[in-house]
Amino acid sequence: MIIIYHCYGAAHSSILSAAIHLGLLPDNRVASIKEIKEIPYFDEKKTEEIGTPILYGIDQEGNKIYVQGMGGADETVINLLKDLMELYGIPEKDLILINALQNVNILVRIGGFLSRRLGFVFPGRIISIIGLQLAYPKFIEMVSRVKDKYL
Amino acid sequence: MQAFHGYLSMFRVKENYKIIDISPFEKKYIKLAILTERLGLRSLARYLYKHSCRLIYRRQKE
Repeated sequence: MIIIYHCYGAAHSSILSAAIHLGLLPDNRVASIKEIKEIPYFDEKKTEEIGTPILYGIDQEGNKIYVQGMGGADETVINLLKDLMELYGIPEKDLILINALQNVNILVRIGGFLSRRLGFVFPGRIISIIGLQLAYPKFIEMVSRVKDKYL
Repeated sequence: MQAFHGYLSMFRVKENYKIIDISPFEKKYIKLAILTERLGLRSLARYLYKHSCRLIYRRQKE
């Protein structure tokens, strides 16, 4: 099975969700700033890389965990995905799309904008991490819901 | 396009394909069709879409 955590730029919320899913971050407490900062691809994706699904890892059940930034064109991209699946005969049940952006607060948005769009990496990264820490319980809940429902 | 290429590689689809960008040909008739569709004039919109597609087809053939 393929699980895609998607958000706007695949820099923060989808990365955090995938990291929790794969056990790179704790699912029983809020991760520290250092822990979040050190996860692969965190706050790294550039604007021109938006759209490309990236294989983030394979979980214990053998599911492939992808992250993808949809750049606000979620509907178009999801329709494209569904069309391709239909065209190549890939069953719908083999793929799960999870919108990680639903858990994001204003701090993550501001931090992401500062870091990724304006290039103020240090303050942007710190602000987005603080935002993610505040929303961390929601991410844990979302990932555990995904695991309970689909795996 | 990045999503398109990414999905093909995600599904391990190795197929020869050629992408033709037809957007330069989508000019006034498509825009007019979209507008008329928004205004609820469905038959007129459909006619304009068809007409636009015919023009695109003709240009592609040329």
